[in-house]
Amino acid sequence: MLKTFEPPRLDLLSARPGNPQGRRTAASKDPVRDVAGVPVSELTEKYGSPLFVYDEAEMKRNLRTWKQAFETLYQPVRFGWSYKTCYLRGVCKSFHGEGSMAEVVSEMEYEKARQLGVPGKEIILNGPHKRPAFLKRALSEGATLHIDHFDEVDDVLALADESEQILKVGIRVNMDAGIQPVWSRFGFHLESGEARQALTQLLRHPRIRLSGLHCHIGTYILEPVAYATVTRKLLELAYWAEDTFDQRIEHLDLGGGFPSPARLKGIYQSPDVYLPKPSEYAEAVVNALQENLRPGHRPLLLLESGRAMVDSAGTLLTSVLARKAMPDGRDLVVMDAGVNVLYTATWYEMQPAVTKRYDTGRHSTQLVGPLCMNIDVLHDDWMLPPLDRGDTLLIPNVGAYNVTQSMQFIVTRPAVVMIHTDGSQEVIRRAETLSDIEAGES
Amino acid sequence: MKAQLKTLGAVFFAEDLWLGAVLILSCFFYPVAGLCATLAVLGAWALSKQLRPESVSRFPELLNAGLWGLFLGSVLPLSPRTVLLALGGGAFLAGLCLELKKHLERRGFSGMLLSLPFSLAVGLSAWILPDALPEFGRPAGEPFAILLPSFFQSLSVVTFSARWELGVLLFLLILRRSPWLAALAVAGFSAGWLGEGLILHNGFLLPPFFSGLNYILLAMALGGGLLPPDRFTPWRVTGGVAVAVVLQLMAERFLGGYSWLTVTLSFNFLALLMFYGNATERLHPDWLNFRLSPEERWDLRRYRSTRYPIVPYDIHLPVLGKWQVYQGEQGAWTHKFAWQHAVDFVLTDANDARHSGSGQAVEEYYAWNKTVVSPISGVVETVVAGLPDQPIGQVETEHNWGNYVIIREPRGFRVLIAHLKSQSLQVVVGQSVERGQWIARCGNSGYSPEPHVHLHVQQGAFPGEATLPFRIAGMSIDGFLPAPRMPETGEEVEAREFCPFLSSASSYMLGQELCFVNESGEERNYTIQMAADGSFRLGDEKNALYFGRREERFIFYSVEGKDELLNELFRTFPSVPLYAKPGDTWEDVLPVETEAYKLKRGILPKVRLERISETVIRSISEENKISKIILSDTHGIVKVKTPKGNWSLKSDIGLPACDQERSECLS
Repeated sequence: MLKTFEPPRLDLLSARPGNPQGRRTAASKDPVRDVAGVPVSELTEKYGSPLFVYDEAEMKRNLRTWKQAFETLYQPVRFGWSYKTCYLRGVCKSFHGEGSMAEVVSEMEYEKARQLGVPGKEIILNGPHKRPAFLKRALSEGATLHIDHFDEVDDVLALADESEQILKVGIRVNMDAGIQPVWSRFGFHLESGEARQALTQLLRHPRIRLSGLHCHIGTYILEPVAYATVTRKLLELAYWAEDTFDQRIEHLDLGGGFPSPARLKGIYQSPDVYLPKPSEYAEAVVNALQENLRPGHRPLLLLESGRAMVDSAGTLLTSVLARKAMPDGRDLVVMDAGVNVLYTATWYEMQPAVTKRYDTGRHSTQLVGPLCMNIDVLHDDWMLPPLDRGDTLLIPNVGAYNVTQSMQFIVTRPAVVMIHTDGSQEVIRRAETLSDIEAGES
Repeated sequence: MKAQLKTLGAVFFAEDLWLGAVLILSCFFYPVAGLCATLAVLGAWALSKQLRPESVSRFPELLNAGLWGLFLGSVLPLSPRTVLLALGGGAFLAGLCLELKKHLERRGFSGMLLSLPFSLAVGLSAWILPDALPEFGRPAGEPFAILLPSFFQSLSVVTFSARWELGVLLFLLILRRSPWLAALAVAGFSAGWLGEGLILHNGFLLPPFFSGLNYILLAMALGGGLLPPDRFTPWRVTGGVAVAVVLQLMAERFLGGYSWLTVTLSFNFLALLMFYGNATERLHPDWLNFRLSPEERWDLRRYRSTRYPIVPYDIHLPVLGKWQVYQGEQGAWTHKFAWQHAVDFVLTDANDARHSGSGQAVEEYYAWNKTVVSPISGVVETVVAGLPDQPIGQVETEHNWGNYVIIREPRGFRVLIAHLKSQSLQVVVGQSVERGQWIARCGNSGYSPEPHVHLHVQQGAFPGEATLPFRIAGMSIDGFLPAPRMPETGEEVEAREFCPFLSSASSYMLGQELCFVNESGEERNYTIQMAADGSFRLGDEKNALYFGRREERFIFYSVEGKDELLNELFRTFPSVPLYAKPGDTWEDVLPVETEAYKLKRGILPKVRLERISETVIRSISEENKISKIILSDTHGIVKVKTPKGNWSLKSDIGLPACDQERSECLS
């Protein structure tokens, strides 16, 4: 039996900065042969490559774990599905089926939610970009609004002037929650008094009522205590408003930012060591609530998680297009998916797994995508066996943002398949074609 | 007149028009008897009207008088003496009935007399006029050959005419009205015949007709006509008939001429003995409603106990979110004997595991540190907060309740929640707590192998007392809202909160006027008024739908009249729990008077309801017919869609926009 000739490898030993413990490998040498119980080969044969695969059971498991963590400590609490994390209809429908509200940050996302049959009352509208006409529509349909800046305050005041009914609105607040970086560009700053000023401007109007306060402190927050701080400070603001304007908040929106098992670059440990459990976040928040809420006051607690729900449920299957040997001794493997499809590779380490058994040893490999752009690098230094053309790699924990942030650039975007809880497979988005790209051109 | 005829059927414990008519007609078979009966009834009525003009039901007096008249007319020839005896006797009996009733009612009994005064009067007359009365006799002939005719003849002597044809007619009418009573009649007669045969060793000769009647009536009374059937009914019936046999035989042997006393004496004596023996404890006034046959009374009782259960102590869940019952009532480990009425709650994940990781540390258990809320509104009586939480693998046997709290409910019982986390109690002794208020966190103190919440109800103030049976209300099991009950081991329960929308939607005010319009433009105008029992009444002069709020349910109690909309509302939406969330389902039963019941006798017709969105509730009847109502928190019921038609609330103000209306109304 002839074997393919493998040229001898010369691995350069050098004290590279960054990782004195040596090169990291995949968690084990065992191949990952299936996604949600469906063999990888079956998926690539049926639907091609690259391919996003969403595991509905994992999505529901995530949501239920987080829901249980909060619901068993405090009621009432609702989760809003953050549309920008993945607004494919199939994914959104799944979450709405489990009782999630919709959290949207643009008119396009709002329209998407409405077309899915989500009533206005079940939509939370955040974000800096809301045109006045859109604002009017959203408010009339009963959406929960969080105002982002003073120009929007002016828009809302104008709407209240011409409206005969009472408008219920909220504001987004940013603050120092004790973590870095501090996100200070969304909403009104708390410590400088901006938030109070915004509230004053709004609540002086006879037809505006305060429905709630919102604060979203960041993404991939690893300190549950930050949420406790946010809760405490928001309640302080809320009670200041209550004492000044005699209006009690009906809801408290703590945003999202809960982490997922995706591995953030720059963190030394592995996620199963550093990731706090959902119950830790819940306890931090609820302890703060129990200590700071006034007697008899039980505002609706809203959470807008995205990544924590869907990241671990999304997998990318990608195939090898070509293999090269680099002058410095590393291998370079060209995949059919790169940063065009895995935009989050910039901040998160993609950890591809092999999908079949290889009998040879592993060596340092650079994984790049199909784009003819130098920035298209999925992983700089990953230990892989020599791969053949057509071999499939499986990249886990890519469910969040990658589909929505995929670039329509150089190559068409891949199909997305969802594996439902009953095992059935559904193409929730077919692969893009040239006519899709040219659809808007004249 | 029809009503009077109907009432007469109560002789056989179930009012029926035909039965009454046949009985009246059969009195006149012997015209003299009929005439005397009429005179006696007149006399009785006159006296009763004189003594108690306001009385609604004169049935006992008139029955006893009528029987007296029949008796007189059967044994004496027509003469002035007979006429006088009839009139006077009738009046006397009426007076006697009223006196007895008065004394019984004063002592809190219901005044049930059957025909006891009549049998006493017969006995009295046997003493006064011994020669006037003919001999009592046994039917002659081969026993088995004349068994059946004898049965029918015994039945027919209820109006003193021993004709088997009449007996057949009466039996068929009884069978039509209530098969159960007919079966009892047969059973009673057979038992009596066998009993006499066994005692007398006379080759199973047939009993005298009146004895036969006694056995028949006694069996009917004890088996369901007078007393509700339960597991002792077979013993009661056979025992009662056995004693009746002995009494009848003794009377025959020893009373000689006074045997006429036994015309109905053993039946009356034994039936009334059993009745008053049971009276105060177990009999419900529903059972003495002779307008219904025993089967119908049984179903009415089932309907009432299903819709309006007498719940001794109902409390709510002490936890938030979805928990699993680890050990229920009469559980496998500790909920036994005096402490059997208790529930342990734990939390599980998607794989049904109660902990993550290895389960060696308390923090790994999902139940650990979860919020515990008060299941009732009451006053905190006892708090123990400082005991340590046990590590996994150790249990505290001395202070086995660990950290606990006892809350006293104003109705007089106490709720104990145990194994709470050390120093997590947020309430103090003497504090008033509301239902749902945070009181502590779930811990692992006391005799607790792993973190869980223990809940039970007890009477007194000391932990370790015997537990009382209780039920949990306001819970949902997988989206289904059961009536309050104890959850069972392994069930996943979730507390439901009061829904302000439903509460507002079901708040109607007295004096409110509603106008409903259907598709063809027909209008129905109703007003809301208060009914005699304090419930609300929606309707007009002829039609009414009674509703109210009871135990956190908005409930339609009953409907009167033929109005289509009101009847449809009652049939399709009998009740709505005010804590139902969109997606929840529940069931209710419909009363025995509905159409569905007549088709499937004995099975209470059910309705399945579901709150499919914030404003829409759907109902599916047993025949799978779908109806919907659309609610608004400002206007209540705004649309009703049933297979029989669609109605909308007409309002001048203009209704608030119903978001889902289009899609919901189209489907």
